[in-house]
Amino acid sequence: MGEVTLYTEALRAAVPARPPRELTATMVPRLAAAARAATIEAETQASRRRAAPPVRRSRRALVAKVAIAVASIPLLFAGLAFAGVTVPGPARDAFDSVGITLPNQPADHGRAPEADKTELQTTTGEGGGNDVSEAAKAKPKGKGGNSTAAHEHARKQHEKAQGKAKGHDQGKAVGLNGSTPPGQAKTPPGQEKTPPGQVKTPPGQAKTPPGKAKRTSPSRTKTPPGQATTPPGQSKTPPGQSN
Amino acid sequence: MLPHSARPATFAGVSEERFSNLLAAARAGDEGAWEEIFEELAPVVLGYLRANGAPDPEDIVGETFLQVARDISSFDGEESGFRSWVFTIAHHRLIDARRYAARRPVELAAEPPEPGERADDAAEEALARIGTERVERILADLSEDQRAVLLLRFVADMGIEDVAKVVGKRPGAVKALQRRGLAAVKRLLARKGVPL
Repeated sequence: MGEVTLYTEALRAAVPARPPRELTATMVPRLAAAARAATIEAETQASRRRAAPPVRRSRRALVAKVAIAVASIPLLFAGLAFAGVTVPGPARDAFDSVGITLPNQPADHGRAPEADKTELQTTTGEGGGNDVSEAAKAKPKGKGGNSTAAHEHARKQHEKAQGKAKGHDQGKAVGLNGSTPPGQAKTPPGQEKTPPGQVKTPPGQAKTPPGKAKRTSPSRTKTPPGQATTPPGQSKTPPGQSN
Repeated sequence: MLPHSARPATFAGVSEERFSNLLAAARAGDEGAWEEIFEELAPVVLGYLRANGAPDPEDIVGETFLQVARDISSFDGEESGFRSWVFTIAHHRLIDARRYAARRPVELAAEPPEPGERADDAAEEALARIGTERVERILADLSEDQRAVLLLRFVADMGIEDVAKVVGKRPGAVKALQRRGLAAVKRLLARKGVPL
């Protein structure tokens, strides 16, 4: 007999332990009672399940659900119109056909599509909005996108728009403020910005002349150095008067 | 691997038909049926719990069988499935008891277990050669998982699949645990000089 087999055999003899007699005596009636109660409970539940009428999904309920869903669509559009939303033309036409005029809708909704097209063409062709100059139209587009002429035109438009602006310069378009048209370098190639041998600002000389502040508004003058805003010995608050 | 004939048979001599009758009687709350079930399975369950170091094994046996009684109406299967089900409940109760004991350690008075029913001659002979104390010491030297797998395989006489269900591992993992456990037993027996 192998040692492992011997051990497992010994294990089978050594491990099982008889429970105390009191435990067996008390447990058996309890187990029987618990099983009886559980079986009765399970049978009651099963019979209840059997007795309960099956859930019938009637066709009428389904039809009612569909009808409610369909009826809620015009109600939805009407609600949107009351809320101030411009509902699509076909929806408005459907309401018009049954004699209901939706509120908060633009008055020109009954136009024919041809009229719309004509107006669109007119708008595009005349002064209002962003129009394209003849020069821009005539010249074919270069490789780099818009031509120089188109760029010039756009710049003019932008300058015109700037003239109408109220003074603040936020939201300025980038690239149109006197910029170079695309595909054209600011400085011609081979030519430097500053002619060689000539320095933009002479060395040791600041851009702003000394003693002249760069940004000094006429109403606010800077306090000269060594001079405090409040003269020494004189406080901002008059004596005897607290803040 | 153990020869199948060497395995103990729980519900010894109980045919499939006899077991289903026993189960039906137990469901109906027949005390005789419950006595038979309890006397057949309780010693193995108690031994399993004791060998695994359960804090209060008798209590856990009681709780296990009460749950078996409460849920027996939902059980559907044969004898091996029933045994596996009972051990699954016992194993879960053991884990719960260990967790509880870890939170509130209690000094337990060690009670010597009452020996179980007489095992077959081969088992008795093996035990006589190794000695109960040495068997328990070797068992205590195994890892928790190895011990559980060996006890379920050789004491509760369960198959790999059933053991896997009880311990919540894959059958491959159970096989590996058994292999390593038996290797450890062999090593420990050799170290402790068991007369063969």
